[in-house]
Amino acid sequence: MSNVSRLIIVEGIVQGVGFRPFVYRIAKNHNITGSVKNNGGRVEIIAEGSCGNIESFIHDLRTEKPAVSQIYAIDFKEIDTSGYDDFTIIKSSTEKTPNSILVPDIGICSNCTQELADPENRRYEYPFISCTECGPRYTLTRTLPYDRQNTSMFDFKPCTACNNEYTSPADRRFHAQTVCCQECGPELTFTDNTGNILSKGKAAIDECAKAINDGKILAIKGYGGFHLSCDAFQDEAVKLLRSRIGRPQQPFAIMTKDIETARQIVHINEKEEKLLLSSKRPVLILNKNEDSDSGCDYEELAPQLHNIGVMLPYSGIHHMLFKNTSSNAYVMTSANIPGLPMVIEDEVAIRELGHIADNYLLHNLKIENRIDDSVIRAFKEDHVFIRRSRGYVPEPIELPFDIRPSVGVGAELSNTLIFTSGNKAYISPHIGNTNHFETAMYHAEVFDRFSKLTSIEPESWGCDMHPHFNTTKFAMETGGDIVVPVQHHHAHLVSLMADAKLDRDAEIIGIALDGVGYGSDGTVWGGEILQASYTEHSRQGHLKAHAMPGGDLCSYYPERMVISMLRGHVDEDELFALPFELKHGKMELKMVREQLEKNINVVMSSSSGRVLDAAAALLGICKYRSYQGEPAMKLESYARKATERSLELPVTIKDNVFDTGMLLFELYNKINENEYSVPELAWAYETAFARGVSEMAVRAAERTRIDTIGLTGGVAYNEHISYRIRDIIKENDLEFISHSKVPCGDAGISLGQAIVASLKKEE
Amino acid sequence: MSQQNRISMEHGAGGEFMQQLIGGIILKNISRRSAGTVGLDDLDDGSTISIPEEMGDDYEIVMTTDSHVVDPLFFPGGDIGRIAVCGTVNDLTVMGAKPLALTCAVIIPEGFEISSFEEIIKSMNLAAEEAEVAIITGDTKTIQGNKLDSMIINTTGVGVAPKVVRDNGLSPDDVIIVTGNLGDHGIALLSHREGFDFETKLVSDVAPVNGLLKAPLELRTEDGQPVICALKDPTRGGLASCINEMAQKSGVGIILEETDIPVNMAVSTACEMLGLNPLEIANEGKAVIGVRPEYAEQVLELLKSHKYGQNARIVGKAVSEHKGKVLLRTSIGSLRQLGMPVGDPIPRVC
Ligand SMILES: [Fe+3]
Ligand SMILES: [Mg+2]
Ligand SMILES: [Zn+2]
Ligand SMILES: [Zn+2]
Repeated sequence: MSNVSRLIIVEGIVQGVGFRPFVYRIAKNHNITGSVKNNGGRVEIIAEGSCGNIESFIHDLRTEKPAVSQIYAIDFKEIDTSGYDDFTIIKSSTEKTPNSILVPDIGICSNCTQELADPENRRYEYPFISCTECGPRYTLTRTLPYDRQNTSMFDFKPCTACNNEYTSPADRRFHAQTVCCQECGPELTFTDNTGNILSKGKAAIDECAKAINDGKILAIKGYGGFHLSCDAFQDEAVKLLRSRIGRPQQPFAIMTKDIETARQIVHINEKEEKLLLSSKRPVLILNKNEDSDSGCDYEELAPQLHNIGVMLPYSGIHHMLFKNTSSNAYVMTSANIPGLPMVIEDEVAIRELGHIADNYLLHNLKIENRIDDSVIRAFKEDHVFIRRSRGYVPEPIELPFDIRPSVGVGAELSNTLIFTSGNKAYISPHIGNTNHFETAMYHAEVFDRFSKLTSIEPESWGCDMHPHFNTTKFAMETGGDIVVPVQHHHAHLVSLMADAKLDRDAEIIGIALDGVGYGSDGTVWGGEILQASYTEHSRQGHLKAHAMPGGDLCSYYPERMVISMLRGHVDEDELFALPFELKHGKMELKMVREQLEKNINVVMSSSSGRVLDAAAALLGICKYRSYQGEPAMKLESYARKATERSLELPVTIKDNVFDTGMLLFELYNKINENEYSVPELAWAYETAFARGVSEMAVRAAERTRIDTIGLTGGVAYNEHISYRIRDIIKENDLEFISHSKVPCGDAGISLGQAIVASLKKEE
Repeated sequence: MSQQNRISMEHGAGGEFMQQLIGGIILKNISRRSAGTVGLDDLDDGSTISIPEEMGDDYEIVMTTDSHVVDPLFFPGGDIGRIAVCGTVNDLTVMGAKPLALTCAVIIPEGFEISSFEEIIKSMNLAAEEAEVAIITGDTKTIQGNKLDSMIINTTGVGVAPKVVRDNGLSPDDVIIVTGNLGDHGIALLSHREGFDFETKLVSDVAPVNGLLKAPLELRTEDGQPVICALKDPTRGGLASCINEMAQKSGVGIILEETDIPVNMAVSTACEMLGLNPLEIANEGKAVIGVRPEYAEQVLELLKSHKYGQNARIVGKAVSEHKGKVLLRTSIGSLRQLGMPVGDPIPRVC
């Protein structure tokens, strides 16, 4: 029987996931000779063997592939046979092809976890343990193809034992680029807050664990950045961290030793458990389990919220720490000034965190690419990304259709950028608030990295319409005449349409609810009902525009919005006699009044965020915002406590404009009746808000004969409002779509921008 | 008030009324009326300026002009007359020039109170005396009916500079100094105009800065160059506009330390309450100075010894990176770009 030969090209997530060793193994199993190599982002296989063997080889290729790999396409070509004797893995060529694919970091696998705990194993208690199926990838890669010499692991020359594993096809670490051990790999050091080394290796872990036990604050270097950490069960330690870091209210994420400990702290359903245990290991925001006696002070960890972010250990360092401390849960908050990029260099960490951390746990593996923890908000039935980063980035999002290569630079807060090509969209990790200059520079750096890693040469650029965003300026300066400014809420909606895999010619009625976005008419939007296709949008309804006395001041002091929104409804003397808590007291109150009367530094906005904030302020829940989203998040948590949920506040819509000032006035009246609890009032307000918005959307759907309504924007993170809107849409026999893979906040904007820009350029 | 106490169209018609206005109010109230052989008293077609002997031979004539309008005409700390003199004196000074003489052209609406007019002329005189600058020629026009709702004063100034100082002379490492609290003028004017009561009385800083800058401008480096390498007055658009222009024109980056920038407590409180940025608010008696680093302390000391420079501060420095951009190191330690002020703010905080 004569042999045949095939050239097989596999496209997908096939590098750094043990794909070539896998191909080697199945080739051996089926008596195939030839070779396998990485070429840019693809894997090229030459397979020679009998027809039957080739067929079963290809079958296994599809079905037995490594767990973390993904195959997008397999391409075959008949070629001349060359009479190979053996099957070999060929060193990577450096030639690049578009759509090179790099793998996200993968949480430590169960095999490695077992070895870590096995005194007989040669990597016993070695925290940098990894294999072809787990460990850092994106964070240590300088350039593609993914080979050791292109990663920061190249600083460590494998010892003989490691090299043997690397070269034996039967080994789990065959061609594992991150193979190392305590003989040859990275090493931990434990230092004081000025960087003086106190101990190394296993002793470093012991001392670090002891410091955590003693209630100290630690800065812990991981693969993609630094965490600030302390024992989550020691109130004093958490308080100390809060005061040193200057975040009086912001919720801290915690890492628990295992799923059992997590269960004591939060409620976890089956789906959530799977997500927590997945190799992506995101932070999952789950409802506090206040019935159990977990021993942690929820109020200190996540003040006045009903939920808290929880994740499980994802590296050897985490496992080693838990093994050596008495605590089963640590605070794990990323080490940065809010909005600024997380620290990744030892020297910078020591300089900038010295006043926060008592000690550092450092190591000598360089962080090539910074990445924050991914954050996912769990709802009752589904979940939605707040931050899509570690474990997910740079895995592409699949688009419902092909577009020409394009870039989206994002908006400003919680920003991301994106490169797209064909039907793949590569969203960057979380970048931060690009209003900070350092973050704007990091944005430009991520742009360069992604441009190299994806080899995409954009033919169009999408940016926000806001003229002052640094991202807009970056696009205008760098992108030149292929830049297309995209309206903020249209970008939100297009991102949603792509996330929901809608066809190219789809049209929806979109509900976009957020804090602020520059409108097509030059005013500030934020509570919008738009008729939207992938390229066009028209405003079909919106919240009533209210004056923002002092502009952005209103976002920090929501009581300013209360004054603005109630003015005209409540008698002025009565209104100004309310117990406001503005920073400069009575004098400021007078000033706000003057500002509104004389129209001094006042802008109009239809923001949803400000409408929810105002209720939080009026109800006394939150009068000053110390972190992004605080008033609305606390309003949601209060509303959930309502046991009586029958109170209904009337909704006024006139000419497709929802009068939210009237709604706040209704709330004001109910407060004065003194019959309702704060949670009851909060619940009623959120319900009415959702009803008003849904009603406008349903009417717009009727008018335009469009049967799909989508919800996006930061307000969609509110479970109650989100589900209320969904239910009303469905009650009206309309299709409802919401986000699943792309964040609904401004982290999802870049995707919409890139798509709109690409399609508009085509037109 | 009777008609005769007000400006009428005849006051601008060149006849007797006009002679009364010029002789009885302008000449009478201006004390420095000559800078050469022909002066204001001559009421000739023009005037002459003699160059002071101490200027030597190697100098340049500097000239500037500005039309001044302000609402309201009288405000705490000054009036349009004082602004008209100081504005032009300051423009000459920040070119490195010694101001010698000014022209004064006034455009007055019909019906304007003559007593107010005289008060304004007196105020111009006080400022001119303080700045030691002569007002040597002028013009008066009246505008009929309601075609003009307020007065306009144009002043053109002439000065001489042994070494002209530009606003584009910054090099990396040069130190940036501001000569005092920022935002006083704009906020005083706003609160007076709108009737705001800030509890603390806010007063405009309008003043001539030639006296303040005289000594620093004379300082020379070892090779005879001015130690002040760039100079500008932060008027409309405040420090933000001024410093951005300096950065762009000089082709350097500038890093300012937010906590070192002097702002009067009452002004910063007012700005906090209104959502304004004090760095974007107008000043009328301040200068922004770029100094060679070795001389920064010396210049600062000289400034501080003058009554208008007591709150002078070193606020930052020029750097070779971030060309054309101004960065502000905030109190939390992060950097924010201080952009050119842009009319009404557009909210951006989500
Ligand atoms: Fe948004
Ligand atoms: Mg000037
Ligand atoms: Zn593993
Ligand atoms: Zn080794």
